[in-house]
Amino acid sequence: MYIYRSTIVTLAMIMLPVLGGMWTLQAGILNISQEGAMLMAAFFAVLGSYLFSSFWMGLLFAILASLVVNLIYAFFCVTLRANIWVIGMALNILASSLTILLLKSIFGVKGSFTSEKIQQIPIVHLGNLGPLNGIFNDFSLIVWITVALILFFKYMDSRTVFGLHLKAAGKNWKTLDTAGISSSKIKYESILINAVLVGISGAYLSIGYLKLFNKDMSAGRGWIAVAAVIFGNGNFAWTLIVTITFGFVDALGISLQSSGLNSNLTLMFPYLAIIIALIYQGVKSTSKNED
Amino acid sequence: MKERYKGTFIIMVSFFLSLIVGGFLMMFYHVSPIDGYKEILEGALGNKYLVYSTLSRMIPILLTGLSIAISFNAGIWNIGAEGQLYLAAFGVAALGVTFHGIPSVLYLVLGVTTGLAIGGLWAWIPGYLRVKYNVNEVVMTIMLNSVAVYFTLYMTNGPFRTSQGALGATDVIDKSMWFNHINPLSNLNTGVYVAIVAVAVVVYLMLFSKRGYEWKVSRLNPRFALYGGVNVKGNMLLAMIISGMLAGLAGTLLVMGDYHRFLNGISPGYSWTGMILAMMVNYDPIGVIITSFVYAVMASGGLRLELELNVPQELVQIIFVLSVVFVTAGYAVANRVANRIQEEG
Repeated sequence: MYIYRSTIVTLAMIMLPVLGGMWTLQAGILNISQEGAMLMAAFFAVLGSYLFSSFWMGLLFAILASLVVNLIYAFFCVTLRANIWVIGMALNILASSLTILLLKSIFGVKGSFTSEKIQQIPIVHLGNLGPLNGIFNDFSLIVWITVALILFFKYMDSRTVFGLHLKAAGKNWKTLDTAGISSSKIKYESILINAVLVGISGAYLSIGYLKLFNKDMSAGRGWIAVAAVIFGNGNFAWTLIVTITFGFVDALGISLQSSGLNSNLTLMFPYLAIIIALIYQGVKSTSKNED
Repeated sequence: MKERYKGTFIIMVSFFLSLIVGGFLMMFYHVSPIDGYKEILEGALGNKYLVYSTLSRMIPILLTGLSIAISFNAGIWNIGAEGQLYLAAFGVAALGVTFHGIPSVLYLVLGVTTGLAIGGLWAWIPGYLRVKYNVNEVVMTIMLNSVAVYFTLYMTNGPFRTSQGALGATDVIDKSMWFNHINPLSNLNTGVYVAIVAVAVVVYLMLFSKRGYEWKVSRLNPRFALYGGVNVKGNMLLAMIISGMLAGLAGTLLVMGDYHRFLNGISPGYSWTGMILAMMVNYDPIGVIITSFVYAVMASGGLRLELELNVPQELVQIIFVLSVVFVTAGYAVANRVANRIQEEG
């Protein structure tokens, strides 16, 4: 049960950027500014929640921050057709130094900020469910939002015209343009949807279970989401499977920690899992091509 | 040659623009830009010792910058310099605390070789996977970064934990492995000569050798390169390994020259800074040398800026990231205009 619950907590942090990233990948853009957007969102969630003592404002600030980062990314990658790695890395590094700078200038602290005035995102208590308590009860609101969004996106992905346009923009944008639908617009839309999702996950990072912002607190989670997106290659089911596996390995690591294994070693597990998954995928697809 | 002037022009204008933005940002802290930049220059170059400090700050940035430049230039994206740096630095320190009584000259050579080997090997893994199985090297190197950093954290908290007080560090390495400080007031040390040799080799390879030309062609037009008989994959892998060796050397010199031990936070993100610089000058090694000097000056001065005028030193990094953004935009716009002229003409 412990592993189950901590899997869910980890998943809630990376599932949304994975969903958003898959969305933009389908539209033909690998979004690698996730880490930076997430970090900015985490900071602004703390700021919004601190200023207004309301987690809603925290969420709003987070989403706006993520929107700004993603809009810059979209402008460079879609409109200017710049190299995604250059601009993505620049934004990630910018987010890291900008949040430290803001931390110093707004709160006057180095490295970490917490306050009683910050309101946390509430935990949903569903009343007494008896044996199902451990499975459904007392998760953060974000967990439920995530579940709802997964279902919504599954529907969008396979049943709507927008889902089709998205794939067309990724696979063959010229055809889409010829059909009178602007592929750039579709790409922008996908990146903006991604921005909202990443914003929510950033808020969850800083005001979900905690009430603090730490410098570089996204700690590679955005990258893990990117890895899952690359692994899934636009396929909904595969992307979800690899993400869930990752969450499970992470939780497993944390629980092994309590049985005495060094925490720095168990922290390596999820990264090793991704490495193995990527190698497996690479070897498999290469041998398939050779047949 | 004209292309090159255009590039230089875009870079200069972009940097100037970001300095102006940086000046505006300083005004938020009630500091006049002129005072701010003056303080930066004085803080970095005000006297002989400050110049030494600035130069010693420049070395790891220069080496990681070249590390990024050589791989990006060849079209393989080594984002893993940080991990290569950490692992090499730790490996060298582990060597240095374990063995004693080796003659100094031999030990120095051994130390540098070990660092180069570890850095190169840690880069070879993602490089090999990329050319052989087409595994995305960016994600792979980032994952390997985390693995390397957690591994060294584990080692410094476990088997190699120091008994000499400090937390999160190894013991001090054997004295015969030290690159001695040139001046007691700064970290500048004799390791700088090794760095100079490495820089010369890289500049030669990238600008004056056949290999350097092949790298560039492979990135700009892989099909043409293949047609011309270039071993694109082999070249990529080689660039990746050299890139790892340079990052490893940066870590090695930090251990053998600056700190004489491995520390957990041994690199405050040198490779990310190096990446910004390399991207800013479009992977030109001479450009990296110049920008890493400018960056070192501004970073050294940035410390003073924070102490004296209360402007956070992160401002400096932000100025450089903005430069990259402006340069990218500049190239995109320039290419567009060029294309349009071609289409119309």
